[in-house]
Amino acid sequence: MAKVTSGKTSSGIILVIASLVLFWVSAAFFGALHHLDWQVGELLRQYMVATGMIKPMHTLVDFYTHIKGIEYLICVAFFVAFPVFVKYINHEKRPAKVTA
Amino acid sequence: MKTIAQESQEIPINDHVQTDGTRWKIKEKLFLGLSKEEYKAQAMRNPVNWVLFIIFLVGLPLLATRYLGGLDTVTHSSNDYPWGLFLGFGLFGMVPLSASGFLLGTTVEIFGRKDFVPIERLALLNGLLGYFFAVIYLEVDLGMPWRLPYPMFVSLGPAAVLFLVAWHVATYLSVQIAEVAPSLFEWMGWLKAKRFIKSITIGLTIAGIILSTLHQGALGALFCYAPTKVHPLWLSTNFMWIHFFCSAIFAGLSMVIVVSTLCKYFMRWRCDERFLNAVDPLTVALGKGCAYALITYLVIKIVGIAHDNEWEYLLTDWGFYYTLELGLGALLPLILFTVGVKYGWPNVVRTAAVITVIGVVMNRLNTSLISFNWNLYQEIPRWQEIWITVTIFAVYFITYRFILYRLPILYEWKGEK
Repeated sequence: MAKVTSGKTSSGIILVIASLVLFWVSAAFFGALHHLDWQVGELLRQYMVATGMIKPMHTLVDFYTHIKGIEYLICVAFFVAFPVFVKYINHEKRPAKVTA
Repeated sequence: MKTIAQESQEIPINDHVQTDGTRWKIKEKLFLGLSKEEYKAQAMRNPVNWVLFIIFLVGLPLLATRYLGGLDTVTHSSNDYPWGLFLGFGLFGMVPLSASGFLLGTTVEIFGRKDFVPIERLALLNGLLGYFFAVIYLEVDLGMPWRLPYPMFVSLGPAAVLFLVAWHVATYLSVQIAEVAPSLFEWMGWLKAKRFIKSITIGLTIAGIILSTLHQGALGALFCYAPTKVHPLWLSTNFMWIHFFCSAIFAGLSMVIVVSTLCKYFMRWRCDERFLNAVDPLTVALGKGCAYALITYLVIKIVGIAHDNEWEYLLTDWGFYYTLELGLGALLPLILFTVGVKYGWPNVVRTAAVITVIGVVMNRLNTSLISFNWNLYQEIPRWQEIWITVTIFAVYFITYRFILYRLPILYEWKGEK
């Protein structure tokens, strides 16, 4: 009984924190959009500049370091995401419903 | 046909011998066991045939005009836009949708997944007809079909990607004819020929894998001929071949799902119990393959953008259109395939497959036609070009239906095999 109560409390805390984070993210997102006169493209551009995805490059080494860095990050993320995806899709084994 | 099949014991034909012990003649098999009058009557009753009739009524004279007057009598083709709908849809669109042949051939013959046998022949036929009609579209675009042997044998261009594509398509088409031939031989009762083809099946399947893999990629590599013409988001000189190859995997599988669904609902009289019982679980199983290929495709598309550092293009109008293509043609079906496979819902998988087929055709049209010459004027195909494209697709449909009505593709032959 005590375990069930503790589980419910933990879920409640996680839910509250997640809601707060979501509220904060939404406020930041819509605040930024309002600031930019609701231009989604401009917001995206500023985000890419801020994260270094768009930046001036002066040498070939700069260019390759930049593109390879991003490519490796995408690949590493995919190496993690793909097995998770396979596990997710195969998680529930139910026989296919036969339609008329 | 549905009503006739329900009322008659002999129709649909699935054996060499009739109930009274006499053998069916080839001519009788061609007429589906009906008299000429009955055959004509059932054809007239089908409303689809009337739609096809209207398409041909306008399309065939247009086709004659194209051959008599030249390509410019029906298209806007120019040095700026050499590839119109015939190649954009007919070749670049039909070829990935026909990857089903080598995919299912590999699954059954190499990986030993015999549970896919009920749908294997349909996939092989889909591959064969798709390639064959891609060549027909190419011929309509090129004209002068009697000069076809020139690039193949007379005036070789071994350094050109087009040469590679031409030889791959020609040899792979021959391999696919051999792969589909056993069902024809079963239907004809020519068992020696069937056994010979069966004895070389593994070799044919391996040849199919090599040829299909190479030329699906080569079709993508073809766009490296025009690096300044294709919009940078659709052109990735390093990854183009793998974008085309990877998208062909889910395109081919989705096409099999779409065709098997059409057969299940509109050609039920021709399907046997084995096919009908297997089609739903197999749809879900094929959907799983589509989901794996789609997620990989999405990632390598993003890698393509990162590799060429094209993030800024995503913020332009072309970028939004590109995002729309990826969102509707790849991300949406990926979500639907995932849900459909996870919960075993074949109809959700079918919906995803239809969207995927449209998405792949959209991608090929965007690459070869819409984003082509993005810095120049926009090519709008003439109505005659669209009508001829539809006419050839109608011939494809009729040929597909003609074969499915007769050969043991959706059913098992009961006589000697």
